[in-house]
Amino acid sequence: MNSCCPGNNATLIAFINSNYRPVVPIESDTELVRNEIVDSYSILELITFIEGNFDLNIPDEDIRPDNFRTVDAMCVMVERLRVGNDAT
Amino acid sequence: MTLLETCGGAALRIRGAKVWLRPLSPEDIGPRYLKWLNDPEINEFTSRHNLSFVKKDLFAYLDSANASTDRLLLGIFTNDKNIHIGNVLLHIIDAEAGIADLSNLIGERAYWGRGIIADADSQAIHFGFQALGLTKFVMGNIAPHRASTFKSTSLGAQLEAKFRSQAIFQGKRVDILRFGVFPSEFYDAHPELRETIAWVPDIASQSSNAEPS
Repeated sequence: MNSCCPGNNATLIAFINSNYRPVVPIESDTELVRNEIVDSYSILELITFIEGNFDLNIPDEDIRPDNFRTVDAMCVMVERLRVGNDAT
Repeated sequence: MTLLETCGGAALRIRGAKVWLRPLSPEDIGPRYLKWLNDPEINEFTSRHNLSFVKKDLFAYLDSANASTDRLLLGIFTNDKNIHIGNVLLHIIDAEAGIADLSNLIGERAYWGRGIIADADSQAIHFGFQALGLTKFVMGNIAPHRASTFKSTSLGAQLEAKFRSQAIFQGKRVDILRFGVFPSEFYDAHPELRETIAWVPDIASQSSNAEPS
């Protein structure tokens, strides 16, 4: 298991397990898109949560499956966007 | 010859994992279909959002689509209960270059968030590439419709253009995003479809779907 950012990681896992109620609780490397836990409808809640919780804006260019494939992938995106925000 | 006739006419059936697609007939037009088009929430992100429709409009739209040489209108029906829940429209916008626009509507809210539109769109694109020999699909949405953005990128489509402040949404100017997908990108995203034929009749591909160099 690869936890790129333990705090963010746990927050996202808790949100998904609580709101999407997967059959088996997810972990940071659970395939969310392939397992249809996240799809084009449920992604909206997730984006809203990430933006609100981590105080960032996810640009249009980043709304693609590889950024939401797993919680680990989301963490990488969150960290990248935070660095980008800090730099400006 | 109409595009529908090219595709096998009323007998066309495209089978997906969750839904199947077929041409619509006048018998499919009823109060439920009309309700979808007049529902503000269902049309919130579309150009239909401030329009109203009557049954006559739907018959005219269906007649026009089925008589068209460049549009293929297909109803989306659930595999389990055979319920008509929406439509997908394949519109060939450049026949010489083999490019088609794809748009859709899921009218039944109960089927939102169940991977239905992904299944319907991927089957329509697969059919377009393999059966019609198309070389590229394009699609678009206003930027606030992030579900549609995710849907397009999940199909393997790339964001190709952003038209700045080109639409009005909830009283504000917003961007329009345009996406495009070539066969290699689509089948990388959907390798399970690469070798399958999920439609009847099995019309022959009219050209290769090689990508432009």
